[in-house]
Amino acid sequence: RQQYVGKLKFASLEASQGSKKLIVATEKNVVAALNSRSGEILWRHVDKGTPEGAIDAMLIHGQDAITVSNAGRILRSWETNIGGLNWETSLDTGSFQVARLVGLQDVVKYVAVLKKAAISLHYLSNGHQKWVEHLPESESTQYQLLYSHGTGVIHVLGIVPQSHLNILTFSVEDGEITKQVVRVAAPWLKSLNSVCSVVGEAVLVCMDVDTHSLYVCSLETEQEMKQIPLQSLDLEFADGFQPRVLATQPNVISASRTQFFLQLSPSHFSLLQYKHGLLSHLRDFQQAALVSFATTGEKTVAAVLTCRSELKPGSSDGLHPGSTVEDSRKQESLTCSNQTYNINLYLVETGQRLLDTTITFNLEQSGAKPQQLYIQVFLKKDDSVGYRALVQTEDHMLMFLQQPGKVVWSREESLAEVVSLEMVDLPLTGAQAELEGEFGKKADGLLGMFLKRLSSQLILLQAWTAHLWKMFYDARKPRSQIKNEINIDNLARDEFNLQKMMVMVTASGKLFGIESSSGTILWKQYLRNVRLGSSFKLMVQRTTAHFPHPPQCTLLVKDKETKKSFLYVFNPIFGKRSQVAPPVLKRPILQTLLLPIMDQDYAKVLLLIDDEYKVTAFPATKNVLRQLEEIAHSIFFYLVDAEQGKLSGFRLKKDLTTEESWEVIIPTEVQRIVTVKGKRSNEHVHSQGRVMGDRSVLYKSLNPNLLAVVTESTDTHHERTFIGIYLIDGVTGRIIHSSVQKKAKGPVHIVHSENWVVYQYWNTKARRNEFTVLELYEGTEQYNATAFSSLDRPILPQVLQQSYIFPSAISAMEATITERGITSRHLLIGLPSGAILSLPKALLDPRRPEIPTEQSREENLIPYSPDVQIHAERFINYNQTISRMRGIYTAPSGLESTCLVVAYGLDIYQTRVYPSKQFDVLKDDYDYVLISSVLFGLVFATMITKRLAQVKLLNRAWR
Amino acid sequence: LFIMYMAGNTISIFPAMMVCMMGWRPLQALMSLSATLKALESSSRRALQGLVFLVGNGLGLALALYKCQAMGLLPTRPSDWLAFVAPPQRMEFTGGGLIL
Repeated sequence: RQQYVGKLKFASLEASQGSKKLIVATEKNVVAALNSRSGEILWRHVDKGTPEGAIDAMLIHGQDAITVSNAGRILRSWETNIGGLNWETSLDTGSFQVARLVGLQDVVKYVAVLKKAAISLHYLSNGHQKWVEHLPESESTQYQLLYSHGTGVIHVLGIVPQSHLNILTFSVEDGEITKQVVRVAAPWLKSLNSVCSVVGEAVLVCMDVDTHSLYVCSLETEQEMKQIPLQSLDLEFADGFQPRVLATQPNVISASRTQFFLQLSPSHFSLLQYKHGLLSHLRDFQQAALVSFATTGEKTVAAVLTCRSELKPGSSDGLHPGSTVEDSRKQESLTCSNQTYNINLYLVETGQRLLDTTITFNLEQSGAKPQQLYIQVFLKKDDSVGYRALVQTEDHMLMFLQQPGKVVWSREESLAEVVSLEMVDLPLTGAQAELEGEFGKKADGLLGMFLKRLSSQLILLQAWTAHLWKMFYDARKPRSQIKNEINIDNLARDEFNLQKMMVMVTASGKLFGIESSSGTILWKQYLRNVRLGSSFKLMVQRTTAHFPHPPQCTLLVKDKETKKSFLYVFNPIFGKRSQVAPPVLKRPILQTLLLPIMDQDYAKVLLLIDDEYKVTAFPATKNVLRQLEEIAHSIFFYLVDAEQGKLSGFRLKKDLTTEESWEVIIPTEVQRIVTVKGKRSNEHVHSQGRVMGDRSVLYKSLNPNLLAVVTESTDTHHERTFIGIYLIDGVTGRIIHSSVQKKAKGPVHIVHSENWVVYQYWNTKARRNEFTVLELYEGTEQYNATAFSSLDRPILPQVLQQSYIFPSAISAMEATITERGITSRHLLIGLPSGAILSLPKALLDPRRPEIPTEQSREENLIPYSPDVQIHAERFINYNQTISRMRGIYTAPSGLESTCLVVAYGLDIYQTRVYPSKQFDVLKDDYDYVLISSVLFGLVFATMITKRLAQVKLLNRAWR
Repeated sequence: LFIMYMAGNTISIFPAMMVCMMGWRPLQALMSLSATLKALESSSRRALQGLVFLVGNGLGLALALYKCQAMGLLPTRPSDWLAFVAPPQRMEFTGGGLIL
């Protein structure tokens, strides 16, 4: 199991040198503390995954972390040492704007929360409300800023867009408005966020793009805004960029620093100072990616992350698939060509660079830009400034850096959002591969073959002796030192193929190769031009079985907005981009189909259908096209358009165009399509039927083209809501079974395998979760035992159905899968509590009789009972819960009894399950010594008795 | 025969052994047919006696087989051969799904 927290939203590093904690709040609605020495999670609290749990703000004061979540509805205080909840209060509704700590006379005692129409003040110690005040004119005014600096008053800034600013001043003690509403005309101002900031002793600094000038106004005294044109400072805005003002207030009871950053263009910052009514320019930062302030004691420093200046234009081009020239040129101004960054510290007061404060780090491997920078500054013993930096990059990687440029740890937080997952067999070892290769090659004479065999045997012998030597060498070392480290070089398949390579695609567009038994990340690859919210489809085109051809995976990425798609072909073991050039996709791709036919290099053929219903083949060699032409009449596509409620089938023609063959319309006014589940292509079904009590056979209806379509009603009223299940043949479009479950509500989880479909829903009438299982049987006669064709099926299958009550909601469901399908199937059910329940499919069998008869007992059917219980001993992950599970992936291993399971969500968990126990493995307590000694004893005894018998015969003959 | 009847049709070790014995005896007897015929050499109605011996043993064998059948030990039903039924070959390939 590996735990993650997700992409950072807020982070806070403790300012002292000895501190070990790092408090983070993330976009995954997680509040956690990380150990800043090792990067491990000290504690973690996971809120709801819905927007209800979203964290809006986090403030740190001493040992307390204050979070505001659920759109300003809940205020919580956490103890940062152990992660306990100090207190929790619920706030009034109203959209949340800003929260801020408020101090009075050197003590920080309160936290102020600004809402759209009200401001409230809470005690830090227990969360009780001190006072709440309504804000005047809250309909027209947008209150967006809150400021206090220990003078006993709170300034609240509201804005009427394009008209004026409202400045309110509240007293901390009783919440009275101490000063009348001050109106400051600001017709150019649209919003306060990020354009304005408060510097110094309550001086508001705003930025106007149109007139290229800064506006300055004191909150306490002035009524007018002073305009300072930027030209006077020799500064210029970049076109079309919204400038930002970044200021810092190191301590809430004292005034803000008078210095602030002005962001002029995405990579151009300048440090300005406003003191005693004078604006001065301290320093200019070109090519800066990120800036940040940090304070320790009396010193406030600014950290600037810059790109190392050796620009090598063009070096990043061509590295990234599908990127057009236009794109890369646009990015050139933003990204660093050689992926090396510097962090420098500058003293804020003067803008001077501090010596020996450069951290240089390299992001060469990932190729991602840094996104967020947090600095922890501390004073060293000799009064110089030391610091550590936390950098988050675009691909959600967290790096903790220490001087001079040492990466203390890094976390791959993008793994908190795995989108797609495949398991690939590991390659054979060199010696095994040699042997395989020998058989793969063409025969070249008897002698040649013999010599080759000898040489490969010799290599095997060599490997074996090396292994023995290593074992001997290891045995002498103390046990603790022996670490079975797995790295990319000694990666090899084990005897039973239990270790595999997990190829994970994450939402940020980063690919990972993770070794399944230990969970070490062996390679990672960031696809730079993937925007968030793209859809991915990962396919294994060639497995490792075809030595010496490297395995090949293909990832189809489609951008949701631009509809552009591209293919990324890579080697799943080493993570390298493959030499094979994928076809350039001009049209958006709607769907893909991986055919079992192979080209001469043993790569499976991938068909891509675009929005003009034309098909592109990859790889598109002559051989493939010829094969395709031959079998084109038996290739069909189905496309499901959830928005229009349309299912349509297409037939492939010989010239790689398609024609529509069927269409099913599900009216979108009444119901919408939620999921479509086909069968897994690598699934084997060993038994073609079930033996009945009277020893006849009930044949399963194993239609590989069957689709299960789930619809939900658009009407969500609990009396009228329903879900629909359609079983549709993907070739002919024939509806084999349809049923409507009244008074049922989603989310529906569905598993479709063999001849059965299991789905789970919420029953609104009885208020409980229910399972329904459908099984399809052909009857006691098989129509055509040798070949299955959807076009030739005169008899509809019999559908059996039963429902069960399940005591818990579920978050993910999947069926186990094994190599040959002999092992009985289990359903793996992820519960919201984080446990994975392994439920035998035999419990969800529609043939379970209500009254057990002789025959049903013969069949080993369990009598029907409506409720399925959760037995704690059926949890396969024991105490290793997986928070916010989103999916379960199963893969067969080399052992028939064993199925590999990966559950992913916020955490990643991998294990093996044995649905029918380990029937093909000798037990752990198998007594090798006894069995072999008995065997030897018996052999010995026969030899002795033989000898004795001979002697006796001889004696008798003499007599 | 009575014991056979009493043993019932359940499969457990004793009835199975008995059935085995029952089947094996006539087989053994038939194997040693020539020896038996030699013993009958002196007899005048040798052919008839031989025939009776053959038929009797055959009957015993048939009885044993019947017993086996009754006990369900003979693979005569399609369900007995189910594990060897090959999965039908797939004629069409489909693929697709929700529009990406």
